Amino acid sequence: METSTIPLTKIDHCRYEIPSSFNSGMRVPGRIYANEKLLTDILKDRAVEQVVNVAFLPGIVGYSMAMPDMHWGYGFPIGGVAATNPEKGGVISPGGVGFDINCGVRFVRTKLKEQEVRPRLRELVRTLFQSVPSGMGAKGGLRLQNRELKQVLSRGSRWAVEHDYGVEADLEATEDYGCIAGANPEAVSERAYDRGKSQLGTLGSGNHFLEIQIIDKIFDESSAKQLNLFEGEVCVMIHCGSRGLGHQVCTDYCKVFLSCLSKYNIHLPDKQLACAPLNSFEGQEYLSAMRSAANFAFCNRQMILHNVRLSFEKIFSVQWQELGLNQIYDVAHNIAKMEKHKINGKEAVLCIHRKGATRAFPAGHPELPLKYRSIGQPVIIPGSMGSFSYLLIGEEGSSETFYSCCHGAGRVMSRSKAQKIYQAHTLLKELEERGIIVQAESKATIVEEAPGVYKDASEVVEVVSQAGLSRKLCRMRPIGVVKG
Amino acid sequence: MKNYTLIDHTADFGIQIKGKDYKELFTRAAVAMFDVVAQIGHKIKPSEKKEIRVELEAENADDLLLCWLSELISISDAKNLIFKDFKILKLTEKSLSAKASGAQRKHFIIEREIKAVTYHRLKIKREGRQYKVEIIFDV
Repeated sequence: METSTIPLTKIDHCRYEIPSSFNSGMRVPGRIYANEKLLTDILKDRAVEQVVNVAFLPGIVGYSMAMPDMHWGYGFPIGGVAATNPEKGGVISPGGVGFDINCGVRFVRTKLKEQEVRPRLRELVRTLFQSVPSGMGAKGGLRLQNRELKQVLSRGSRWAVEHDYGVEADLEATEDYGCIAGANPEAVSERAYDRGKSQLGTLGSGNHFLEIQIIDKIFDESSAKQLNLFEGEVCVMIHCGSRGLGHQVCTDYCKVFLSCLSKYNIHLPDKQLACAPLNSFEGQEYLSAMRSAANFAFCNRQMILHNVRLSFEKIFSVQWQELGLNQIYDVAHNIAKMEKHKINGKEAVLCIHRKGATRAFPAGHPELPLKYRSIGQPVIIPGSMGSFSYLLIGEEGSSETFYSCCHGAGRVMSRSKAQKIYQAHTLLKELEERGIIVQAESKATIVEEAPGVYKDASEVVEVVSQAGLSRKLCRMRPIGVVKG
Repeated sequence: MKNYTLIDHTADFGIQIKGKDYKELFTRAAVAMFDVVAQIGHKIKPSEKKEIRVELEAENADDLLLCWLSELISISDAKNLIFKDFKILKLTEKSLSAKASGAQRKHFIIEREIKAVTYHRLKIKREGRQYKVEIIFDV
């Protein structure tokens, strides 16, 4: 299959569809959220073929969807959303979640103004770099025994709060209150425990980061005020996931699922889409292991937030509560969740795969905590290290995407090409001239995560906003970056 | 001279390997993977050397290659090791016995982390007298 042979029908200025008649294996049509400009970039790689491949999954309902930040991944495209119905033979696929289970973003406000932080910025970035371990195989301050780690896998962020690494309000401001029900730590392999036992509280590498940002523009004054977000104030964004523990869970279950494809008579165009029926022993085992890894990731970001608070306290010699370091929200963007949705007018419990996509519940959704029920769920969209990030709010229009939205800017350039084009010291100098201080573990990471390798998050956000999936609340620009 | 070439993949990292037989292909794939992770050109002092033994079984050669590389990445992460030398002791289409040696991560300059090895496009192909395979890593 070549991308150029795939027919794309323009539905409106931000929706394109691939008819299911294109390939006899497709059980549902494909739908891509993009404008003409973004589509030009999307068609440069093989992500559209992956939208077609996902439509092969047994029990898929609605559409095989992709968000405007979509790009070529493995199995699913990055930015892919797919719902499967367990009552119709629906499957769960680790390729629809990704190796970094519950990779996600946490957004934290402060009361500090830019002019209060600027004079101490270099020192603050250095302190954050030292207190939040980053880079390959980074080990955290905590080394847990398996028995304790199992508690983390069962209880997620709650474990951290119970051990004084956070407060109850942090839980209320986390998707699923920082703990997905139905985790079973016994479904996680010994090797995964070996990889995870000293990685709690670590950032990792690749596109993961910790940023100090400034609220640069407010789009929705009323909602921003309700969330205590004001122009010119400093905030913090944390982007990371479940580290080696999650990677191992995905590796383990891909192998299990591949070996049982023939048993369940499943035929797929890409091995990385390996899956098993939700109503099967293997499917349930993966679901409970994936939830365990997701809980580890929530707890990981909670531990990082704790160290961020301590770093701010150290630099400003004031307690974090006085600095107003309150969590706005924490979202998962690599996850599969069992959620109630309407399909053809009937309510059903579906498995929503979000692979580089964010849940976006609108105001009034019963699963939202009271503080967000009248506003809607915050959706955090990180940009690249030199560009804007956004905070959005879920809108009712996202019911057509099973309440899903984009997750970031989305890459347009490969890492190998970035290496040929950019040099670390030139990039760092350019960023510094723009007032952005970067501290990274590896020079290769700086080059491969250069601002130019990503799409413009502003363009991506415009599409989801026009499509009615989310509305814009505010925009942030980075001033300090910690990378792996 | 590197025994692999990089493939353009938007999100992740891809390499293409060629080898005259499976043994060479599997060895070169392992060296290439750790060359992507770290600078592994230098010699390791005997006192710093760590060696592991790997025994694996799989349904076919493609899956066996994936299991081999996944196992090395997984042990590397769990034990803080970077491997640079590989000796395949026994290899069939469905089983492998090998030794990998290296040293603690602190003895290397790290370039990037490989989270996992993906099945995406992984298919060993015969090309004339050689075997060829493309591997995409999640980074």
